[in-house]
Amino acid sequence: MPTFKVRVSRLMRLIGVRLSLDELIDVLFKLKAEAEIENDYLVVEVGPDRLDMMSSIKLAKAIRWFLGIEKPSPNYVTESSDVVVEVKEVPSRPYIVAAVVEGVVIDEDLLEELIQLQEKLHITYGRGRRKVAIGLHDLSKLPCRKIRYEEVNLSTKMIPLFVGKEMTVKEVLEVTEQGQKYGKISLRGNKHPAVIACNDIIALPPVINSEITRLEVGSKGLFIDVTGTDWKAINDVLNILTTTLADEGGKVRAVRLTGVINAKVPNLKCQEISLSPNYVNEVLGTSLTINDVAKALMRLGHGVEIGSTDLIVKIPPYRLDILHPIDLVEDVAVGIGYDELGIEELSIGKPTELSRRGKLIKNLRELLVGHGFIEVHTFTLTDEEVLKLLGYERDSYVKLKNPVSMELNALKNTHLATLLLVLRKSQHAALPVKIFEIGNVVVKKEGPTGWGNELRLGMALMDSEVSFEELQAPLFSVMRLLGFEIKTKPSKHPALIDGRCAKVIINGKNAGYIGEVKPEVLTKLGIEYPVVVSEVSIDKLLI
Amino acid sequence: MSAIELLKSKGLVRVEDIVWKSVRVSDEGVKYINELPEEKLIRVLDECGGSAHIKELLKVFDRKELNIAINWARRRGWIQIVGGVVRLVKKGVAYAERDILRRALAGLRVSVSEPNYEIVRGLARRGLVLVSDVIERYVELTDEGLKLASTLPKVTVISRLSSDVLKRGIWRSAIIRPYNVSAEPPLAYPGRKHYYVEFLEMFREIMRDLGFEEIDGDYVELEFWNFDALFQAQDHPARDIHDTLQVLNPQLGSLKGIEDLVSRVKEVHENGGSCGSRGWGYRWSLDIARRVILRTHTTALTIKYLAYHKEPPIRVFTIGRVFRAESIDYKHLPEFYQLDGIIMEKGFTFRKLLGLLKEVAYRIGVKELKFKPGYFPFTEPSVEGYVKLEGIGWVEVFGAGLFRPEILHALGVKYPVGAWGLGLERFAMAVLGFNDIRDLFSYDVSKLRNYVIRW
Repeated sequence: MPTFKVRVSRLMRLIGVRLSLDELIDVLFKLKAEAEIENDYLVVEVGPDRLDMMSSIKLAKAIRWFLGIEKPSPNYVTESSDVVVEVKEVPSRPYIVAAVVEGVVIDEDLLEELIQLQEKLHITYGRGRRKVAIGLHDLSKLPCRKIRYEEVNLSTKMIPLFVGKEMTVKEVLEVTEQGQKYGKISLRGNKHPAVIACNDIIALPPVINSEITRLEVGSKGLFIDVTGTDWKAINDVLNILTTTLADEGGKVRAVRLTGVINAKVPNLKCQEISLSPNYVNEVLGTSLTINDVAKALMRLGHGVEIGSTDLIVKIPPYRLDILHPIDLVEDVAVGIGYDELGIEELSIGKPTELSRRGKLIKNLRELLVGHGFIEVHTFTLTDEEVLKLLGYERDSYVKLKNPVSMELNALKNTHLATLLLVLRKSQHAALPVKIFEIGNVVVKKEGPTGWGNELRLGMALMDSEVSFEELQAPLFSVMRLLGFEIKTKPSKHPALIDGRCAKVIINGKNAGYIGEVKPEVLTKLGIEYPVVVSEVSIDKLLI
Repeated sequence: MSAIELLKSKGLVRVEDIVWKSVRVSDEGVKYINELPEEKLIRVLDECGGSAHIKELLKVFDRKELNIAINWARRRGWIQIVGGVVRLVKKGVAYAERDILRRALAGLRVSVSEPNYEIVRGLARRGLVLVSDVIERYVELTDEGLKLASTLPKVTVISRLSSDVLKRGIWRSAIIRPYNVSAEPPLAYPGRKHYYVEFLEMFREIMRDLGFEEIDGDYVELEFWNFDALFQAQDHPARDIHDTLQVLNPQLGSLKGIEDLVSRVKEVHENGGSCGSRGWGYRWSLDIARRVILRTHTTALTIKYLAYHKEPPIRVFTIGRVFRAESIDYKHLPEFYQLDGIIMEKGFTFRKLLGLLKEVAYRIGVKELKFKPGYFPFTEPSVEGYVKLEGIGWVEVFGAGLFRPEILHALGVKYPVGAWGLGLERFAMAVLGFNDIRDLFSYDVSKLRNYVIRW
């Protein structure tokens, strides 16, 4: 979940009315954000769909609208600027948009917030700068107003931000921390994308900006470039940035793109969606009037025009989450308040019956416990080495491409694996140790993935001395008490001793096996006591 | 004067006392049977790369336990503390101590002359074992006693009543020897059900009582069902290898037989299809949808159920395991449980969904519930349900909402569907009294044996 920090005093000043900290946190909670106080700061976690709220000014606006102190004005005016960006072919990172913002003074808090917003947008929408990267520049330091976006050779020179000396692009990618982290994303052979003002590289997206146009406290205007691999995404991000600065009092000026892209950006027009109060009421189960709906939407910052039956909703250009009228319905609910909506009691149906499978599981557990067995509950994720040690073929179990650890790199296809691991860990316990587990293992099965769950019962017995019969007896007893016919016939299993291993035949079907574990298996696992095990497929009993 | 003293004073018997120490494990000792606190400290430090700040350690230990651990680890010279940072000096084990603890579980007797007795005394000082004196008294007749005894009538003393004693009526002319009835008995180990499985069963019962039918599905799933059918964009971070566990054999599965559904899903992703949505506005890839993964949520199953059951009313739920690329620690597991339910009815509304959550909360014994607007890629409106847990505070437990129109459109479902989910581990820990999530999947039988039921 995206979190960010804002200075409490700054936020309170922007809200402009007295709120206690508890009231503040409560309002934010109702607006889908969770907040905690940390010294002078408020740490806010916003919904992943509301990344536009990640600044003091946008939070303050949201609170003011919600409390009815301010009427929303979703329209943003953009006049043209004299900055032109000529876009060349940049195959590794084809898209760029840009904007100019004037009339905003960057103080320490705002600078801190902008950098934070930039970082959070990089991580989220930007997918770690792969999809979107942002460059913030001091407008007055632009060497000229004719900007180019093109690929440069790695031998081209620039002065990277905070390094303070000239180096080649190649050196920037290899030497700087940013270069090492992001240098490979858009590199194409010996070429890398760059934003160039006349002859100077001002940004090397998505890696680093130039020292030349460094934004700092006291800067009075910004030039913003946003580059990426997705036209819609870079425009969305530019909208969030420019409207945030506009709300801070800045004037947004449009930039003309020429060359392979021809457009005027940013486009801060409102999206308009027509919304019927009937639809709202149908979804929410309410009986709101058209005015109720309009008021609720305004509390969420939307512009509203009331028609004869429907509303025309003007959605501010940073609300990227509104895909469908249903998203406005949620805003109506939020505007009213979830707790204020009230609930409608659920009509409770007839209780459903336990399935045959459920009943069998219930009775099995009951009987096994009655026979003195302790139920264990283990992971499905298993160490492939254990499965191999037990003699299972390489393609008989699921292997993971990105395991979190080598001990959890496969899915068990037998309870034997985890039962033995439990016994290994329980050797200090007073003997005998009698355990069982009922749960899924994953085995080969026809179907879309080639794998499927199978519900199985696993049982094991460990003592200073054991015999086959000591486990066979409770297994037979339990199965017979469940009305099954059970017998055992000699068989082989790679982990069990020949001559002390049998298949378990239940109702005429081969349902599993029982046997004493081979000494070499026990030794390799580090188990110093003899063990008898059995595994029976519950799914096979149900057929 | 006891009978023996009297006989002794008359010179009829000789008496010799041998004193033993009987060792029992205290409740605290049972906790440490696998690992003494100082050993745990060593393990944790080792896992942290050899050193950790006390503040860090307090996330894993409670304060009292940490004090004990530090105190003993320092005495043994295993650690050093400099400026609040605990540094591992020697990877020690307290094998001898734990051996005594284990043997004492089954009842241990030592004599004061054994070398083990020193270890026992150490453990007793720490309160991990309880030591009491057992006096074995040997009484032997003297020659004079023997002479006198031969003149007395014969009396049988019975130590254990047996069937033979009853059948032959021997007891009529015998004395039944008294027992020391206030002595501590040996420990008994019954079979028992697993606490977490029982907790899950409780939820199953609650859901069935609410008229929901249980469904069940596979752990290995296609991304199509886990994400695409749920309108989760293909470049959503939850879908990458840092979050989702992907399968190697095979990497891609098959979407044969559901081509129509697949093409409608593609459409709603790309441009919203014809359901009034803008869609995500990107090119949807079949190969990403075909990736084979371990399901990351049980909604992968409920959505699949919905794809094949489109007529109301539907009330189904599932409780099952889900998987994430998460390393194991006291708070996180790569494999855990979710409860997921869907409800489809004509005229189902968001307020009815809130009503359902309230009913479920009530039945699981939660007294206070509050709602927060939430975000899930597949529901709108969405809500998070917070419940107040004693001693913990507000905890987010429910996630719920109405399935998005894009999803219903692609599936061909004509009625509103409420969907809700519940993470079970955090709740289980609060109810069962654990502060380490790994205890829910413990591989240690003595933990399961000794778990004390909370009412």
